[in-house]
Parts: sequence; structure tokens; C-alpha cells
Amino acid sequence: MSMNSRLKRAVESEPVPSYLESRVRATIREAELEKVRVWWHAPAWGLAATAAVLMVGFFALRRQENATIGGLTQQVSSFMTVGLTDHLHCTMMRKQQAEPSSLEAMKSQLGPRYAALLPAVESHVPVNYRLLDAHQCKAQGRDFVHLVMQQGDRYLSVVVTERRAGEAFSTKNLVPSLAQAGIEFYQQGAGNFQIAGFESAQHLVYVISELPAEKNRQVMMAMAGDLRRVLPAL
Amino acid sequence: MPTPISNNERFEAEATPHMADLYRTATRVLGERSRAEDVVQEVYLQAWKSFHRFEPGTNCRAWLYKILFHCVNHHRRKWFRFPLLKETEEFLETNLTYTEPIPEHLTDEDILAAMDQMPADFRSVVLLVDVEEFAYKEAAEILGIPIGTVMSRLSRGRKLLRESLDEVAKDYGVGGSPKETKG
Repeated sequence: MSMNSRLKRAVESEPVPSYLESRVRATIREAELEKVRVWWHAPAWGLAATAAVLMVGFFALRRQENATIGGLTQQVSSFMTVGLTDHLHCTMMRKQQAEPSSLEAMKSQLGPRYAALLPAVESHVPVNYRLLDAHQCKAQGRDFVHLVMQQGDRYLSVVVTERRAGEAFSTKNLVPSLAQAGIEFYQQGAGNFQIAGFESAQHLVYVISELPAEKNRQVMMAMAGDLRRVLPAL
Repeated sequence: MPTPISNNERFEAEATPHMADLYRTATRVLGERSRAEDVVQEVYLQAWKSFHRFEPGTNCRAWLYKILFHCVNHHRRKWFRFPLLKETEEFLETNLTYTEPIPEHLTDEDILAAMDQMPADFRSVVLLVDVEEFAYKEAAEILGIPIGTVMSRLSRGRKLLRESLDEVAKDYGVGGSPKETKG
């Protein structure tokens, strides 16, 4: 055997710790979260600066009626982050359980009112993901029904919340990214997250993940029909 | 329409498969597993942060090794007091000997122990070129040194390694080749 082959064999005999990959992933995950936290908990001066920019923008818009894109973009972000709030609250900021809850436990956590959401979502869990948990929760003063899917260190949330008076994607001057079977889908990226959403008469529904935008929207479209059928009875 | 691939997915697909190789190289270069783990963790964090600068289609493995040696050099200054290369080279110039190739009966542990005794700069080049099979040019770019220095360190590193292993073989009393003093 040549010297190079012997060297190679010797070096490759060094065992690699089984936990190394998850340790590295956890570090990256933490850095990723840090980015989100910075973005999410914007410092007061940042908000003040944003407000000042918006005021300047407002007066500029008064003078230039056609220049409305910046304002609309701001509205899109604020409305789509309703669902993202809950995703961040439950899957990112809190330690997740290692093993999936049983379907019975999920049903129980959802309660009789929302248990029907479970089969509607369960039948459309994306390939390689598993349904991890389903529960009712509250974030920033708003009630949510939250179904969590997991693939390794990545989470995908289906978030349902009741519409408040006057709340609708359409009244927020959003433009649907796609319409299918009478359902209009809205889409927005925020940091590394993709948010897809649609609305029913009483509810706003979001799918949030770190999947590419198109894949995230496909997940939403796949389950939208079943969810739409279930939502009126909730 | 093709689905766009996110940076995170690209990073996962292109960078993660090289983690074991990087860890093994780091272990040999640093001589300690826990430090190697720390450095590999740091390499991947830095790589993830700057992955937007990585050009798709270029050699991700070489890029990661470049970051690895950047981190290693940083930590060396912190953790170790290595002799300066110039001193090492001068020492070797006057002490190099020629020995036969590695005797077959030596174990992986013998080879690793001999490698660990080599001066770090030579060990790095031997690991990159002989073990990880990088081209001289790639090794030069990874280490940030001229290609001529890579070749010279490789040649000296190999000779040192052979010499060291020859000594081990003679200690076993089952081989070893006659030494020939250089010059």
C-alpha cells in the first residue's frame, strides 16, 4: 500500500463524534435565531426611525399619488407577521419537544372546537416532515390554533386565528400571489421565513416555514381545500 | 418553473457532507479532539454567515478548508506557542535523512502518532495534499502560502514522516530501513 493510502487510512480511522453534526446545526440555528430576535425585537430607536421614515413617506405620497409601493409593502409585512408571531413564539423561542405528541394528546390540546383541524392538516404533512404537536396558544395578546410539523431542526407551522373586526387580507391592499379553486393565497418572506396565507369568513390561516417560497405555498395550497371545508364549523 | 433553492438548503447540501473530513483534519492539526470540535463548529458558523459570498459551482470543500485553516491559525496563536517555521526549516535543513517508505506492519495509531509529531506547518500540507487530495494550487490557496512552499513543505514533511515511522519499526524489531545521512 502506498504511503498516501496508509496516511489516508490512518487519518480516516479517527472516529467522528456522533453529536458533532447536531452541535454544529444547533450553533447555526442559534445564530439564525439571533438574527430573527434582532429583527423581531427592533430597538426603540429603530422603530422611531421607521416612524419618521413613514411620516416623510406619507407626505411624499400626498404629493405623488402614484408612489404608493413603499407604503403597501409596509402594510403587507405588518399583516403577514400575525401568523409569524405565533410561529416564532411557539417553535423558535421555546424549546421543542423531542418526540411527537400522540394524535389523542393533540386532539385533547386542540379541544373539541378545533380538533377537526387535525385530520385536515395531518393528511397534507409534507414529505420528510412529521406532525410534532397541535395546541391552542396565545402570543402578543392574540389567540391561535397552532399545528407544528418538524423535519430535523426545521419547523413548519399551520397557524389559524380568528379574524378581528375589519381584518382581511383584501382590505390591507394586498395582492394575492395566486388563486386556486376560489381561494386567494397571499405570500410574504420575512428573514429566513416564508409566510403563505389565506382567509375564510371567520379566520386567517397561515403556513410558515423555512422552505423556499414556492414549496411553502404548495404546502398551503395542498391543505387549503380541507381547511376551508373545516373552518366554517369552528 | 424550477423551485428556487434557499441559501440554507444550498449550505446544507454543499457544506455539511464535508464535516467529517474537516473534523479529522482539525484533529490532526490541533492534536486534540475537543479543540477540533470547537474549530469545526466555528468553521461552519463562519461559513454559514458568509455563504452568500460563496460562488455556486466553485469548490465548497476547498472554501471550507480555507476557513478551517484561518480558524486554526487564529487558535494556534491563542492556544499554542509553535516554533517559527523559519527555525523549523533551518533545523530540518541540517537534520534531514532519507528513509524507505512506510513499513507495512505499522498500525494506524503508529502513523497518526508520527504525524502528530511533525511540525504543524508540514503536517498541514501533508494532510491537505496526501490525505485530502487537494492539488498543490488548492493547498496553497487554502493555507495562503506560495505553491513552491507547499511543495517544499510536502517533500520535507513526507521525509520526516518516513523517518519517524522507520524509527518506530526498528523499535518493534521487525523492520526498519538503514538510514543514510543526507549530504
